[in-house]
Amino acid sequence: MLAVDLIQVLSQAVFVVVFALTVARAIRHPRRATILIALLFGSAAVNVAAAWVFGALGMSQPDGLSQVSSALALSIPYLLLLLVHEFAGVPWPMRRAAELALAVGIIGRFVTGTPPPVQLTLFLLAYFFVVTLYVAIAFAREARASVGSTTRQMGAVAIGCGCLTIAIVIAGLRAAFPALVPALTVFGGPFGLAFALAFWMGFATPGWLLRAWREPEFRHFVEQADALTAESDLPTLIRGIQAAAAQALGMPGVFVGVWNEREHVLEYATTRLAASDIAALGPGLSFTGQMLRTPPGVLVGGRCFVAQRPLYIENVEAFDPDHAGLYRTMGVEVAIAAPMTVEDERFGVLGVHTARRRLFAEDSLARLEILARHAAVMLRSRRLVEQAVTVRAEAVVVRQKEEFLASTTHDLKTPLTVIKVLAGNLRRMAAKEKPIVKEALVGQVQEVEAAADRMAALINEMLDMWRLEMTSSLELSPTSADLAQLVRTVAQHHDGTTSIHRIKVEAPQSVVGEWDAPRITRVVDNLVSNAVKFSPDGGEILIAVRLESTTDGERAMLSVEDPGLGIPAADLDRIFIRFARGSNAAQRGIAGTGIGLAYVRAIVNAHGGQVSVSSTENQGAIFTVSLPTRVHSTESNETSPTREALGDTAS
Amino acid sequence: MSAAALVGPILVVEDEAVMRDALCAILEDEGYTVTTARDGLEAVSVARAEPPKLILLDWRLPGQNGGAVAEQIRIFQPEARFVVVTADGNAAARAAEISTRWYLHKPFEIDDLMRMVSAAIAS
Repeated sequence: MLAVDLIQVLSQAVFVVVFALTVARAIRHPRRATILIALLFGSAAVNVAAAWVFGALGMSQPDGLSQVSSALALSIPYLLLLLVHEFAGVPWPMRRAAELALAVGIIGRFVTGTPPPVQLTLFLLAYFFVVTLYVAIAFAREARASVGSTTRQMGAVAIGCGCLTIAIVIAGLRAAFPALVPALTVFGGPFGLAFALAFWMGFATPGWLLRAWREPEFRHFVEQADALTAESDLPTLIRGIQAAAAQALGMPGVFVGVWNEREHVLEYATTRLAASDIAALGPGLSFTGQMLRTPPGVLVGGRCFVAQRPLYIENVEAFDPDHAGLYRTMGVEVAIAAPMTVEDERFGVLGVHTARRRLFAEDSLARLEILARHAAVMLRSRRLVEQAVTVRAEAVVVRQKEEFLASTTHDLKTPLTVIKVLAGNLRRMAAKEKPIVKEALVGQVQEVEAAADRMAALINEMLDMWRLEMTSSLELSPTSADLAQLVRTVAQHHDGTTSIHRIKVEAPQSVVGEWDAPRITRVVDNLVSNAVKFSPDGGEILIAVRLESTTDGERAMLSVEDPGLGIPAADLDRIFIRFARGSNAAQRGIAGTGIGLAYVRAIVNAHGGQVSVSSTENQGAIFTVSLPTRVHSTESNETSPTREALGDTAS
Repeated sequence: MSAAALVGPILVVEDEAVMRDALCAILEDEGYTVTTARDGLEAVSVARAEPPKLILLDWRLPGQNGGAVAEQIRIFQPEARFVVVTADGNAAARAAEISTRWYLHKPFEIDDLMRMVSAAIAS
């Protein structure tokens, strides 16, 4: 008997404690569901308290009080039914029938006195049994449809209802066979205790248990989030957050409002709205490119964003009547939203909407808040990655500009030094009144002119690149020119600059065409100086020129072959792009502007020709230029090469 | 007796033929003996054949740069003095790389070149 007494006291104590907890919660969060739960435990607790008081006094309950206790106990199945109605809806015939049975039971108890007649007892037990069984099934079904901690809370309540049903069956048996069944109340005995514990776990879940129940869903969310963090594409990241949150919360209607700081709007991706509907759905809304855009403070999400705290709205139309049309279109009755904010950095709002109220709204709210914070961390990571990429790209541009400037000034200073030294030498000789041989003087003046021409050509190359950058067009001045002769002159100049290279020209006497000779000279000079520069170990540089007849007419073919570093396969596609340089050149510390080959392609394309390269790293390179002998140009000789001719594929 | 007779040849390492010839003429006009080289490989070979006391060293050369050339010449001519000549804009840093304090930025005045050559030889 001692164990039975202990079980009874324990189960009764659980009801009283849980009643206190649920009352406190109902005061903190006065909602229909929290109040119903507090009333449910209140009905049980009053019964327990009456039993304790009169038990302690050694008296049986007076007639009136016993009937009040019975009435409160009878209300328990009905309160559970109302709770089911909160989240799943109970058909009205069922509700009306339960109300009628409850009314009949209470009136019957007051009219018939104590003990009630057997017929009434059986009727009340039948009412109790049917309603609690219905409720148990409803909670079990909801548990299966939910996820994570809600599944477990709903499951616990379903088990509690099952235990209550069994307790009632036992009470019924006791009424029918009092001699065979021990004297146990509905709120006592093993099933009473199981019922009390299950309801405690379901309706007033202790924090430690809730954390344990939530752990798998959060872990799953974090795993999904980790996989998404590397995703730099914002729409994909948002879809990922939506999917992960929908799974973690067990609610498909997830919405994400992303804060657009520049335009000061929240943006929601949606496929369920059309721009034509927007005007009819309420003020402050706009729709662009599958994005619903609202100022902060508009809609539930906007209000949550402005308040920077989570919101649970049981009736969105009452909360925000201006946008009732939108909520109806989207099928939203209940909405929960939490700000995606981390350390004062605001990224927007994360929310869920449903057409039904939530029984464990605070729990959903708390879970959403954690997910929103995690989503904000992910968005911040993405922003930081994006910023790092921008900074790195800017650093690359700065470095390219510095290298370009250094290389260009170097290339300009070299002929400038020649001019200065030769002029200075003449001045010194004149000052010393030394005789100057006429031929030597002419020779030196020619060298000064040649150096000045090289400077002018370099400056013109810069100007051409600038013109192409600004206007995407270049005005050629084609005249009759001999490519073979032009190549020999360039080769001769470079031959004097190196002892380790042998510069060989294979060309017929002349290859004549209509070309812009100064620019084609720069093209050849760039290709040959590259061949010298990128063959640091020396070797033979072969420049070949020939004339080729094609169906389109005659073409001059120029090739420059070197035995040098070659171009890594990964760089071959980009070598003609402005500022792009072979990675091995930079590694070897070989200076350059990165515009030489871009210029070659731009000028060759402007002449209606093509340039290509064939190379294997460490095995040299062959650049081949194919030039029509006549420029197919407009009347003004102005060509309009595309930006691609400039090597600008980035824009 | 001129200073040039005391210090032996000046090696002019310069890839621009016109510059090389002009510097050679100017220095010879001042009484120095001059040898020339177009690039690093030729410079090492000329220096080995006729060890110079002073080397006018252009930094950007076909093949190897001035730093590598100085390193190789110092192996057999540790006393050699170097005047770094460059259009790079960081001649001082280049000079520091090969532990010399003489350098010239291109373009330079011939008088500055002469002062630098005299100072390097006299030190």
